[in-house]
Amino acid sequence: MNCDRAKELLLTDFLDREADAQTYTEVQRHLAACPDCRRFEEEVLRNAVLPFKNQPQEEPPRDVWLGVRERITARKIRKARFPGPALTLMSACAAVFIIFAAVTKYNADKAQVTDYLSDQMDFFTALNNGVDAESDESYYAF
Amino acid sequence: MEEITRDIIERAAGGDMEAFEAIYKAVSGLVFNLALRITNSRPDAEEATQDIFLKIYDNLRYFEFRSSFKTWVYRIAANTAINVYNKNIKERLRRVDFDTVIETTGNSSGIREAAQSSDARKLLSSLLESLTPEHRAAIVLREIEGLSYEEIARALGEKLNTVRTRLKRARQALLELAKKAVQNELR
Repeated sequence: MNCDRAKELLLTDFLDREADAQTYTEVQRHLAACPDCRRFEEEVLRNAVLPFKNQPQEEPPRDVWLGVRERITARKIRKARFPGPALTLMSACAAVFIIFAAVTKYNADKAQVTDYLSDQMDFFTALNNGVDAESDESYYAF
Repeated sequence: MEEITRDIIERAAGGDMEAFEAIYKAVSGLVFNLALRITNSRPDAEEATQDIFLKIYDNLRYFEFRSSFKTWVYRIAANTAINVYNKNIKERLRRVDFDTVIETTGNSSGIREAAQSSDARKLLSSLLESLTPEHRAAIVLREIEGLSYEEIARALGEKLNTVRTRLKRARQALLELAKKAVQNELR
């Protein structure tokens, strides 16, 4: 095992006891023979492991729980006043109705325009052909 | 952590505030300390802890008991704390925090002072300041919470090799900081 590999493991698996037995033995053998890597191991322990040991564990201030409880309660009150799913359903129904009405009106208007244009075409065709449009019975069929 | 039974989780998921308070009492220390180390700021940690418990409350009904409850809580806590840190970072860099020795990242003279004052909390805070929040999460879960690589990977939603790399980078950054502190002392 070379020093680069040993230092890699001294920063990870060997240090954290995640290495398999064979790897662990190889690192130990390397450390026994390499003073530079032994110094490196000491530096890692002193600067990257020891500062984390015996850190006091703190409890959160009481206000944190009070804040959590208040926010949950406020949300429940808001939901009771404006039930989300019911409001969404009502909005969806209203939107569908409005779209339906608009499409129906558009189609009705479009039909009237088409009929008018068709009548005008018949009239001018008749004029062109020298026919009295009013004598045509279909002219009155509506 | 006191044991959280399946019954308590199911009752809390149904909106039982008494059950939810039992969950809070059991894991709030774990959550707050993780948030404190990741954000490295007491006000941010308090904000993050509130957000974390709201997320726990909202998502309890989706907890399927396939992992340990603690791992599930760690995941929500770590991700939320990182998000709070990132959200507040601009304000945090401007703010002078009198709870910590260091005002800005990588101030090795502050580390020297903290070490000399033998204040473990201040020293740790100074060291964490030199790390990204993702690196802080990995090293705190390993060194303080004592999680294995597999557990850290599940808690952070990362691959095993990513966890290994984050720990390596975090430790390299700490070694570099220590080297700078020594160099400054020799000047």
